This record gives sequence, C-alpha cells and structure tokens, in this order.
Amino acid sequence: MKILIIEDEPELKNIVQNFLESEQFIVEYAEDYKSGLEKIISYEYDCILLDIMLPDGNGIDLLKEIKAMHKKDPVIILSAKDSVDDKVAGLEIGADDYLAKPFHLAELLARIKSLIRRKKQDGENSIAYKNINLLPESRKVMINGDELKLNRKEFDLLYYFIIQPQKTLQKTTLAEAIWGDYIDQADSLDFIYSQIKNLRKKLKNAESEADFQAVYGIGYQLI
Amino acid sequence: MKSSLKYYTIKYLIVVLLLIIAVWAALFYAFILDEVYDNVDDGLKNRKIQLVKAAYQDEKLLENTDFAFNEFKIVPVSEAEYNNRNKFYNRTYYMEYDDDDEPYRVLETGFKDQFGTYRKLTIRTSTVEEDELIYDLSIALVVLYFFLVVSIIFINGFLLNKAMRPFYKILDKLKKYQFGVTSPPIAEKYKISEFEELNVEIDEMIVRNELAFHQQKQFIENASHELQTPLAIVIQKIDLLIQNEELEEKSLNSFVEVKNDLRRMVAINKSLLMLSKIDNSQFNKVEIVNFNKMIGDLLNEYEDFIEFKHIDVNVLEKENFISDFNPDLANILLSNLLKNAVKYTFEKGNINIIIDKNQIIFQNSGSQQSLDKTKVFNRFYKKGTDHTSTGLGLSIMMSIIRQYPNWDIVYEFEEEMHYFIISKNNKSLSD
Repeated sequence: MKILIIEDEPELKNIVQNFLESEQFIVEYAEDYKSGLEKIISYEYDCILLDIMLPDGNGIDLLKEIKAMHKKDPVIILSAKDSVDDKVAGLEIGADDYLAKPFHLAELLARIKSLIRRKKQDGENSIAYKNINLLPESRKVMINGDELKLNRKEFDLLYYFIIQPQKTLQKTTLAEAIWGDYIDQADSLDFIYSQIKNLRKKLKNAESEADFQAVYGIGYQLI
Repeated sequence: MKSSLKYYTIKYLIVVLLLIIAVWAALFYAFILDEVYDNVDDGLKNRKIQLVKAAYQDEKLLENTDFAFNEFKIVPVSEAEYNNRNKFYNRTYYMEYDDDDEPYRVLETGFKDQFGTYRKLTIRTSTVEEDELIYDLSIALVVLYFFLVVSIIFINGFLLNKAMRPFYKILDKLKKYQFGVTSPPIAEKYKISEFEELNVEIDEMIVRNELAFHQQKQFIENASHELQTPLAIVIQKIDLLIQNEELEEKSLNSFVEVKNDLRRMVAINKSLLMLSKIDNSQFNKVEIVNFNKMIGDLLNEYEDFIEFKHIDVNVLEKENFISDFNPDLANILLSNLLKNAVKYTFEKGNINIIIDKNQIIFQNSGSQQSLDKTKVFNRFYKKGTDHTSTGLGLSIMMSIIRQYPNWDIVYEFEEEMHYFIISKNNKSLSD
C-alpha cells in the first residue's frame, strides 16, 4: 500500500509518516506543489493526502490537475482551514474525503482504509475479525453467518474498532469520529462508556469471540 | 427635524419669499401713495391759482362759502387767522354716490381779495381710499405669493427629481450594498460632475474596503492556520506516544489529559474563528429555512445523548416557523441551542421546544439558579468554574441573531426552567 503525503509542515508530515509506516504502509512525501505534481505524474498511489495550503500553490489546483490527468488515485484533503467553502470546493472537484486539522491519527487511518477498500472493488468486500464479518457497503455485521442488527452509530463504532483491532482507541477520538460536532467533550467520557457497554452486550449475545477491553483512563481495544 | 432634500430648500424659500414680498409690498404702497398725493396736490395747487385769478375777475365767486357744486369754498377770515401758506390734509366728506364718508384731499390756503379782505380758500378733491388700496394690494400679493410658492414647489420638485436622480440611485446602491458581496460596478454617465465624482469615490471606497475586508479575512484564516498546525502537531505527537505500548499507565493518563486540554484549545480556536466569520457577515447567502424541520433533524442527531441522559424532550409545534435565513447559521444556532439544553439538563430532566409562527422557545430544567441575564451572551461568560465549556456557544448565537435585523434572542428563568427565546418581528416578513 503506497501513500503520498503532500504537506509542507515537516513535523506534521513526520508524524503522519511514522504513524502510517507503523501501520505497514509505504509512505512517500512531497513538500510543495511542484514536487507533488511530479510524483503524481510519475507514480500511482493507493491514497494521496493533500494539504490545501502549499508554499508554491493551492492544493485545490493540484487536485484539479490530478482530475485533468484522469488519475484514479483517491485523494483525502487535509486542511487547517476548517471552512465549508473549501470542503465543498474540494469534494466537488473530486476529492474523496476531507479532514480538518487537527485530526486524530486513528481517524485518518480509518478514512484511508475505507477509501482504499472502496477503490478495490474486485477484492474482498468484508472485513473479518475473529468470527465477526463486517460488510461496509451494505452496512451489515455477520457473526457466525448470522446477521447482527446494529443501529447506525453502533455500526460506525464497531467499524472503527474492527479496522484497527487490538489498538487502543481513545474515547475522545471515538466521540469525535462518530458523533462529530454534536458531542461536547464534557459528556463524552461517560457517554462513550455507555455506548460501548451496549455494543458489548449485543456482541456477547450474538456469541462473538471478539470483545472490548477498557484501557483505564484512555479508551478501549477490540480484542 | 430631518426632512428630505426637496422640502429642505422649499422650507427656507417659502419663509424668505414671504419676507421679501412683505417688505416689497410696504415699499410699493408707500411709493404709490406718495406719487398719487404728489399728483393730486399739483392739481390742487393749479386750481388754487385758477380760482384766485377767477375770483379777482368775478367777485361772485367770493360768495361761494360752502362746497356746493364747486369743490371749493371761500370764507373771509380775520387777519390773525389769515395764513397764505398751502396746507394739505386728508379728510373724509359725505359722498352721495357712495352714501358714505369718502376720503378727500384738501388744500387750505389764504389770499387777499381785490378789496383787501383776508380770505381762506379751501379746495377739495376726491382721492384714493387707502384702506381699499391696502386691501386690494394685499389680495393681489397673496395671490402672487401663492402662485410663486406653487410654481417653486413644482419647479423645485421637477428639477430635483431630474437633477438628483443619480443621487438617489447612488443612495439606493449604498443601501443594497452588503459587505463581502461584490456586485459589478455599474458604469453610469452623469450630467452633473459632482455626482460623477461621488459615484467614482464611492466605488473606489467600496473596492478599498473590500480589499481591507478580504485581507482581514485572509489574516484570520492564516492566523487560525498557523495556530492549528502547531496544535495539530502536538496533538498528533501525543497520539503517537499514547500508541506506544511501553509507556506506563500513569504517564499515559497524563498524556490523555494533556491531549484533552489541547483539544479544548482547538475548540476555542474554532469557535473564535466562527465568531469572527459571523461578525464579518461571511454567511450572507440566504434561503428559506424551515426551522421545524431542522429542529426535527437535529433531535435525531442528538437522540443518543438524549437517551443517554434520560431526558424527556417535548416538541410542541403550534405553527411552522419558516424564514429567510442562512442555512448554515440556522444549523449552528439551533444545534447550539439544543446542545446547550442537553448539556445543562440534569439526568431525567425535561426539554420543551415550543415553535410558534414567530418565535421558538427552548426550555430546559437544570440548575436551580438563574444565569445572569445581562452577561449570559457575553464572550467567555461561564457560570462558576466550568472548564468543559468554551464560553463561546451563547455569544455565537447572539452574533448570528445580530446578523438579522428584527430578530432577537433572550434568556429567561421561570419556575425553575431556563428559557431561550428566539423571536422575529413581523416586519421582517414584509422586508
């Protein structure tokens, strides 16, 4: 899996690079518009992470170039400008996703994984962990071949865990990724606990082999 | 008192014109009267000469001691009474034709007849009636004044309408002008150079302002970008540290706490950015928003939290609240209201949402004490030491409401319920 990061902030680039490499991705990077464009022309990537503000140009323009070349590489826009305009413009031109800085690394990983999976339609469609089979497109969860009924938010929650099994996901990350702006930090901790508890009960009733484990003070893991 | 340009000039013209006409009338009257008396007196003096001459030739005339057919009388006087100087005065005599006393001009003089007797000669002639003259003159002047004023109003109105049309056009343009919405400058030909100048100056000013506005917007966005990036770096470094499984639990927890505080900083930064965007009227696209529907959608989004806190939510839709509004702002406004209500309602509390034609009321139970009504919408207003709030949510609502004239938001506390009431004035419907 090859990923291109086009980001002029070296610190941020390093963090994302280290994180993605630890997740077994091959990471290349460009720090400006020109070198970014060169890389895009010469190679093919499974995912491109594109910053909007570049020292010698605008990420939106670069995105237009990509689309003009009829490249199919999925693009995630990373922007500090948390503005609706940019988001709309980016998605209209053909970006596949949009993440406002600062983002949780877990969230970035989730988005990259789902993009890559969407792109590879020929490959297997479901994500399996132990005896759980999750079908992202039809939003179904199968345990031992039986369907487990989950509501929208419960599905999103399980999906988040299942693409990063045995990794500790922080409560705040989960809250923001799934409930977005609607949640207030203050309430999130107990709230997430109760949501996990519900989901855990459902998994247990369906005889799932996977279970959640609390990491004290931090979050939860799917084990 | 303020009056329109048209009436402003007319007001002064009417008063000044009245003064001018009054002064002119007085002068005119004096001159005319003077000229009339001058003529009459000359005639009388001429007649005196003729009469004295005639009396010398025909002594019968001397017996004419009363005004009869002749408009003169000659009476003998003593030497002491004798005065041969011409004396003019006005007097009224009965006139049969008018059956009334009428003004006469009278010449009184003396002469010595051929016999050496002193005689007093009085000659009279009918003259102008001053009161009637004044009366006629006044009527004529009132009519003149009236026509002058009417024609001035008419000409003034016509000229102003014609000459000031570009001015009103420019005024209209300024009224419609909205910050951040650049409309193409309309090239206009003006016959009056001042208007041409005014229009050019205004267009230039708008361009300068827009530029300053744009630069400021850019500055705010760049500042936020500059702030977000280091924040993002720190947060993500901590993220990586937390992923590190070698860390012991105690330091892990500290990192999580640091991260949470940093995320609060991010939230404050975002809220400030949002506030400045709203205050800069950057959300100026308006469409018809159905608030009932939006509240319904938002309640769906908050379902999990409402259920989690076992809050009883009642929505009473008396009417549809539909208005022209920026949909993004409406969403921020309503979700802030709802989030606020959910956050400050204790478990198993109540939230009532009452939607009327021109008002939406959010009621929630919660703290038993009222918030400070004068400060509740201020930036960074917090009750006690609530470090979970940015203190900006309510001031964002206020900023949004301030974007719309005739809209209002107030906070009330009654019967242990907190009320946030959004209302709009009916006037805005006719706008």
